Amino acid sequence: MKQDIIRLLIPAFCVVFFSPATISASPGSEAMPFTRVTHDPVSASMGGTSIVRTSGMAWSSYSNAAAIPYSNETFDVAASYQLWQPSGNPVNNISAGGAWNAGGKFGLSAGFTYGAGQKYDTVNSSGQVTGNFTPSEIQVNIGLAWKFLPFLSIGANVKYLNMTLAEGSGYGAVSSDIFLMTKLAGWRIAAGVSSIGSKVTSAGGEKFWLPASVTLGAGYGHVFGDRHGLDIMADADWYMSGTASVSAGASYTYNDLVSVRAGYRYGGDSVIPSYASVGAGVEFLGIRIDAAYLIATGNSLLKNTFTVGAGFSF
Amino acid sequence: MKIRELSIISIIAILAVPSCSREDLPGRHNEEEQPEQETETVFEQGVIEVKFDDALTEKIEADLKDGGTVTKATSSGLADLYASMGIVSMERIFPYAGKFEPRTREAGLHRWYRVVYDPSAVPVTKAADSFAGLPGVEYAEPVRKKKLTSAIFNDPDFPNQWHYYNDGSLSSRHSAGADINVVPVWENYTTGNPDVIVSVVDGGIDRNHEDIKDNYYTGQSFVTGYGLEAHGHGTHVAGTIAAVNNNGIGVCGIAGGNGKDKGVRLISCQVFVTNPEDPTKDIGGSTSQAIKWGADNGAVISQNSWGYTYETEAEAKAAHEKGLSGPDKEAIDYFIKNAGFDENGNQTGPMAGGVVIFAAGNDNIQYGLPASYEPVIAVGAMTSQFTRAPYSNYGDWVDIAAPGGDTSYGQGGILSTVPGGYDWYQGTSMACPHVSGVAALLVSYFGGPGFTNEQLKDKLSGGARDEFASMRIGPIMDALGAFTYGGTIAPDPVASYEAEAVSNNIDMTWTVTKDDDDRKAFGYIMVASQNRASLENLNFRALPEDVSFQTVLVGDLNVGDAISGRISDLDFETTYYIGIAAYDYNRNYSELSAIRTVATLGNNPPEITVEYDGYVPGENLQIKSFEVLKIPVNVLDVDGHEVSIRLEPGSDAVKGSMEPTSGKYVLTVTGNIAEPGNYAAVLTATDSYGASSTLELPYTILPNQAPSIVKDIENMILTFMGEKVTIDMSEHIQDPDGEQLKFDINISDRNILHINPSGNTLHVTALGYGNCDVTIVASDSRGESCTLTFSVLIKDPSSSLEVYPNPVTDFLNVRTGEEMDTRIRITGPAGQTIYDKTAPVSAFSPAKIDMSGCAPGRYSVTVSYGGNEFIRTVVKL
Repeated sequence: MKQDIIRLLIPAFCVVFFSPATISASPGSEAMPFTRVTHDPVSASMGGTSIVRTSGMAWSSYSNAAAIPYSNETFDVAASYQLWQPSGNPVNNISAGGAWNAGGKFGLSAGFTYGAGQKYDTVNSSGQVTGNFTPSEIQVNIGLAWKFLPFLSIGANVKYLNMTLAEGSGYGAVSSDIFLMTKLAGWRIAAGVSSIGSKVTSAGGEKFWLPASVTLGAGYGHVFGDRHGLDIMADADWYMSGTASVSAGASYTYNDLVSVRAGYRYGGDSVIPSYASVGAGVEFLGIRIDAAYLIATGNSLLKNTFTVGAGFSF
Repeated sequence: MKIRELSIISIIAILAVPSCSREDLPGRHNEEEQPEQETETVFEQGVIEVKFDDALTEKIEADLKDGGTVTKATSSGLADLYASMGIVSMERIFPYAGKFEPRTREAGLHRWYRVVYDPSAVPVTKAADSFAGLPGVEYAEPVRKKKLTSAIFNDPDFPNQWHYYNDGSLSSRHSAGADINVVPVWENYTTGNPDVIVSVVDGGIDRNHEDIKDNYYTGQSFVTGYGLEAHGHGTHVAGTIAAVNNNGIGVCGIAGGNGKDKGVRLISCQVFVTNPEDPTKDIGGSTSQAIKWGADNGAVISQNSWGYTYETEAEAKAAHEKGLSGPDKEAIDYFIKNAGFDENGNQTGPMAGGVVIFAAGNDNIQYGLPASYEPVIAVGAMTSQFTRAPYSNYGDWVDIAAPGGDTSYGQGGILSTVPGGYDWYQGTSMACPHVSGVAALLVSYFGGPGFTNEQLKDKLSGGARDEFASMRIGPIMDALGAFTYGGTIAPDPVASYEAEAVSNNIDMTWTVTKDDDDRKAFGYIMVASQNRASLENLNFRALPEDVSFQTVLVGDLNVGDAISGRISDLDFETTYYIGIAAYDYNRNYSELSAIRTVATLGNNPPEITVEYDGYVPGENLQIKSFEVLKIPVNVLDVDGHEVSIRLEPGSDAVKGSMEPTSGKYVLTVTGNIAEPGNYAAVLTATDSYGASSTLELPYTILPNQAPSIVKDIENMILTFMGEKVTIDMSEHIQDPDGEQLKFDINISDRNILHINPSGNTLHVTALGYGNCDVTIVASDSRGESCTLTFSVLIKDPSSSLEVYPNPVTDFLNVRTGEEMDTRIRITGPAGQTIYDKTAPVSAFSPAKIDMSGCAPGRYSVTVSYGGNEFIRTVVKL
């Protein structure tokens, strides 16, 4: 059985890894990029790295469900508020997620995000204002994990994505993430595909892919002298559009109580451009509060984006 | 060569002497119209008539369908006027015409609306100006008041009281003469005398009614437990008898005075009151007491528009055959015997004895008590068409017919007073007071010592018209007939007269003579014969064949006034013996005047005179291709003969027709109908005896020259909704012929801009923000044209940047104000930059960005120019 799964997954990886050059596209041609925005304040403060994050498994349905069996907690819930790119075309995102780790063998997770965009004036082809409308976005996820070998787990997320852009104009799509993950000593490594799903058809009849990518993630964590914890992570994506991005972040935790974090994302021409991020958090008796702030340069609209969140785990 | 023919009747001005028309009733032309002053008083208040263009009409029709209120026409400014003028209603002048609606719309009649608004809000002239200034309004004028040119009294509703004067003009269901012929009585005899009292046995009279109170005398209630109170039926009946005349308000009454002298007096003998628990039913009182009370309080005429109720026709028949009995009979007898006398039997009233007048009843049966009681005058009802009203009881017992009306068709009822106002009723109840009113007039004029109730009844019945006996409601009451009935004395003969031959006509002039029993002659008969013996011992009721004659009515002329007439169609150049005799309404003829001889003259052909400044006899008329000339031609026959005109137009460009108002023949030359070239029109006028004359009118239609553009119209920017700009098209397009060109205007978005052409000026009005392209095709009357195009941008100055359309499906436009380098950067929903370019952008040269390759989603458009940066959210679908 386990061998069968491996035999199935390897060709799938190969398809995504070695054929992207044939399906490249121009900027702006990937639909519903909001699905690649992280709503976890810890990940956000670490440059968006999330693939091998084993703490805070409540958000795993957004990235990699295969990380759940490696978590130290049994149950985790979290919620966040995010003001995305406040300097232009802002979106207010409210998200919630939760996960259950069944004895380090199986995992189950779910998440929900509602994003309210900025109200805009509707204008006809003569330049005449005819009204206004507030666009919105919805994302609903579920994730499943199975640690089928002592050193290897598999996880999959299925996401329903929806956006309403104008009166009577709504769009929907289904997306999925599939990962294999292992943990050896302090090292965590995962590989898989993200945002593989249906196409979105425009009013003009053109069809657009979701921002699918092949994703690799790696991380290392260690506690020094019982009080000083260090965790570093890195993610890399090769998109079907032909672009790539790399993220890296680090977190320092004192006495399992206070954390400071920083990270950087190199976005290139991918759907989410480059930015640096910082953040901090506190945790006590399983309850945690975290915040993240994005530092973007130049005329990037991502600057001043921030995320705050809270969670509880045991 | 096409030939047009037209008959002309009576061109000669001599024939226009009003009193000479046989058809005229006295007094119907006696008022000379005064020039109207252009003040608010000459217009109907709170009403204007408006014509919209097609586009605005469509909006208004949609609005009215939705709920009768203009809402979608907001951009045209109508909504503001609705509020400021207090518009009550706006509806089509020419209503939906069913199967004729298509041709109604083709004629453009659906675009005419009558707007009713609060007259206190704004004067009508200003209201019309307000409408006229709106885009899409082609015509807006106040409604000038109409008046009956021959009205004897100034009561505004008199023209609707066909029952007094019916010339057939109210509708096709009004026949001329179907009235009581009371106007000549008002003009020549009396309008009523307050010495005459009429008791109205009915519901109570509204004694405070504005149109009754001056003729109201007193009253008494005979309904137990109720005082006098105004009742619709009683007030309507009273108004017919004696509503105040010539007071400038409401209606006329038959014996209501003349405004200066009061009319007969009314006493209200109340026998009905409205049941307060069921307003559709009345509570009755003692009719016998009421009738008697009238006699004891000075009334000599008892007006009774009521009857008995029977369950079945058989019951009514039985009662009819049994005859009247009981206190009502006794009261009627008492009234007839004692009215006009005091307690000692001395005549103190204007008539010895009284008359009791009853409505025949409204059951369409042959019975009707108490009307059928022989001593009373029973009144049946006729319509405005000389027919028995469908409800009227009938039979040999009905003594006389009078208008009772039929409210089943427009203005078919009887118009009179009701409490607080006026209304149309029908019934023998309405016919009855017509007889009471005329009876009151007769007593007013003839009354006095010795004048008896039997004399009054003789006049009423004897003067009535019996040519409609088949109606079985008696002869039709004729007020003038009643006044002149019984006259056996012929008017005085004409003592002297003047006579003059005009061709084969003889014009005669004399003065109106008196009539000892009818005050003055009713008419005159002029006779002529080549044989003197034929005029001697003439029997005017059976004139010999060799006697030609013509009659003339006196009308409103008085004794001693000059009157004239013409005997026409005699032989030419022949000696005739002529004379005149007077006659009264009963056709009692006077002796023939002295017989004189007059020799008729020869026939003169008609004279044709062109009354057009540009016409020089013998020279060609020059007509430009676009011109439409109207050339009046005076065709005069000095002999007064009928003239026919034949036109040989020379080309299709010339047409001829009589103009009724001026009496002139008008040649209309339309330059663009025929090809340029030389032509000649020939006009031939021929009188009824074959004498003719001819006029040749040569004319030249000049070649057409096409319009041309002399200067383009520059693109324009308007900065606020409602901003108006005028364009003088004569600066941009000229027509070498000097023709007023027709401008067809096409606007790519009519929600943004309106252009109203007025002559050579285009009135441009901004309706909303946006841009549009305007195409103007200037055409001359022959269809040659040139085309101008320009763009108009209506742009809010506070919003210098416009990004449209939004949502976008393919191309996104970014428009700024003045042209300058502009950087446009578009970022995707997650921050990805997808477009970043710098290029010159301006108001009329917007940047055009192809977003068809962008996935559906939210995008940020950052526009930087002139040191400023703007960010807009754009949605791609």
